[in-house]
Amino acid sequence: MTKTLARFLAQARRTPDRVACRYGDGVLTYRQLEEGSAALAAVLEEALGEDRRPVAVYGGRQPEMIRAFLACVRSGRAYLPIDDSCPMARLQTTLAAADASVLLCCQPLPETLEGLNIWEASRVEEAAACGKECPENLAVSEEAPFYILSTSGSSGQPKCVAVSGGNLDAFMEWAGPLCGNGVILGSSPFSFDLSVPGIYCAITSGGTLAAVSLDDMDYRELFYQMGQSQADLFIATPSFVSFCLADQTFNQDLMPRLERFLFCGETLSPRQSRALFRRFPRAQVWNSYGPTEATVAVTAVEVTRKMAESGDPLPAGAPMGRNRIWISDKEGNSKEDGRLGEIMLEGPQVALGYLAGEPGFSVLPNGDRLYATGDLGCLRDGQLWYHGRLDRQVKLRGYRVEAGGVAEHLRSLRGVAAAEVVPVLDEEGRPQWLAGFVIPEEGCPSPERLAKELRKQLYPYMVPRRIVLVDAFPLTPNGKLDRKRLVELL
Amino acid sequence: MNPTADHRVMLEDICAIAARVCQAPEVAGQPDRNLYEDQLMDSLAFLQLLYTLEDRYGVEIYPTRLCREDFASPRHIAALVERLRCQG
Repeated sequence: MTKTLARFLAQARRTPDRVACRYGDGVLTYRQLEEGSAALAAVLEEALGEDRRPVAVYGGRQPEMIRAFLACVRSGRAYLPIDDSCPMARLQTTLAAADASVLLCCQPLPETLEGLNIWEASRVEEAAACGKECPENLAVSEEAPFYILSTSGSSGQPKCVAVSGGNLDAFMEWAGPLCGNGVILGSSPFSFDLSVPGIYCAITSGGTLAAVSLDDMDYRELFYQMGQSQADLFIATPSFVSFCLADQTFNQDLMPRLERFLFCGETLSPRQSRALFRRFPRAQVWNSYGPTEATVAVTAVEVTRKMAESGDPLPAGAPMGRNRIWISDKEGNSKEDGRLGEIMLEGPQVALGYLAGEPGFSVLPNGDRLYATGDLGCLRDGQLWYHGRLDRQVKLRGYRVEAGGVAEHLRSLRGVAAAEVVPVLDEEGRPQWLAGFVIPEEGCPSPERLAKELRKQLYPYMVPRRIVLVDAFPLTPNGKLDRKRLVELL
Repeated sequence: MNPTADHRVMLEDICAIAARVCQAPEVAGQPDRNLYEDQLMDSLAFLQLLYTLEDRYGVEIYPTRLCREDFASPRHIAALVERLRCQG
């Protein structure tokens, strides 16, 4: 059994009546989570027998989702979370890509699906309440897949990452102490791995996960839940927090106990961190970095007021736990400090790989795995800086242009709070020109002036033909920047 | 100014704003269109709507003090803006 699961079971014996997870009115105590997941695991094992393929779990953020996750791993099967924002066509391709045996529903599906082994919510609920016990030796081992997450592949088909029990244990070694044992406010859907620290740090420490969402743009409900949560820690993407910041009551009075923000999934801007320091004078702001392929996050850093006020891009942090990071040139050689290259990750958090064997992972002579992230970055004085994706490089009229690099130039201009640059494609999908999108702040000049400023720094072909001022960047359901919809803003 | 005409101008203006933030041009002629249908209004559109109304009408909007229904259609939004302006 993995350390993380063993810690949860021990914690459930110590504090059976404490609330383990909550979403709205839905609550499960440690005892309910432990007994329910054991019973569901036993029923799964009876029904599936030798079939050890992954089990998909469908729903929103209700505590029953976490009970189902634990049931899967206690029965020796990896779980594949599917958020209820997933369209049914995408759900079917994802289940096929992961070769899932069963779909456990924690809420009804919006439509009937043929050809899948579906357990309706009532059947899942009945199984969880049957009182059966589950032998401990069934549970997922350190080497086996613990959860499977689907990410969008470059081909448009889902790409499934298998994260092992040992990967999660290695992440928890450093994330556990950072997240503490209080109330953790988690805003990410469970299909996104930023939800992983909230779930496992809470249930292995005696803490409580308070899940929140901004579904239906129900600010009232979100703020009510945040206010009720007594949260000590807030885990979110920077984009999620920019929605919260739109309401002036998002401040320390709303969450008096809040002592820490933990960000991952996107680059936190100095402006956002300054706003947080103003609104939450008693809270720390932590930035972190990591792809799903290396189990949530591999670096972390406490953002200081000095860093935020300098206006320079924030560091992504220093390698945490047993992670090793180096910067690679095109030939795979390590680059020296301060030089830009591909971020390479090694160590016990590097996932087992993609289920379909897509490239990116390799095994080192010492048995550790290596993941080539496709992210551009540099190391300086032990800190990692993230500089965008390697694979968004585009060719315009024969010239090679890094859209990410152009965006960095835009961001450096006065009056620009945040900026993104994306190629605009022709009918055949070839990049035609670059469009710049800018979230202005005080003193932002006109788009024409911004372009003029850029022409001072860049080759003419690198300068976006059109720059548009926007109030916010569109987000994917996971809270990341949605580039496709950004272009549609033109 | 004639209050009825004033109201009509504002409603047209808000229809146009809603059409733009929702990326749905047809909304410009549909003051009673339910903006929550067909996922017209997502989190981005909502945030844009908020900032546009604040700029244009000089009102301060606390999303937490309002309910979903206040933004259900251009006509609802116009009523909201008038209410907020009266409160000064």
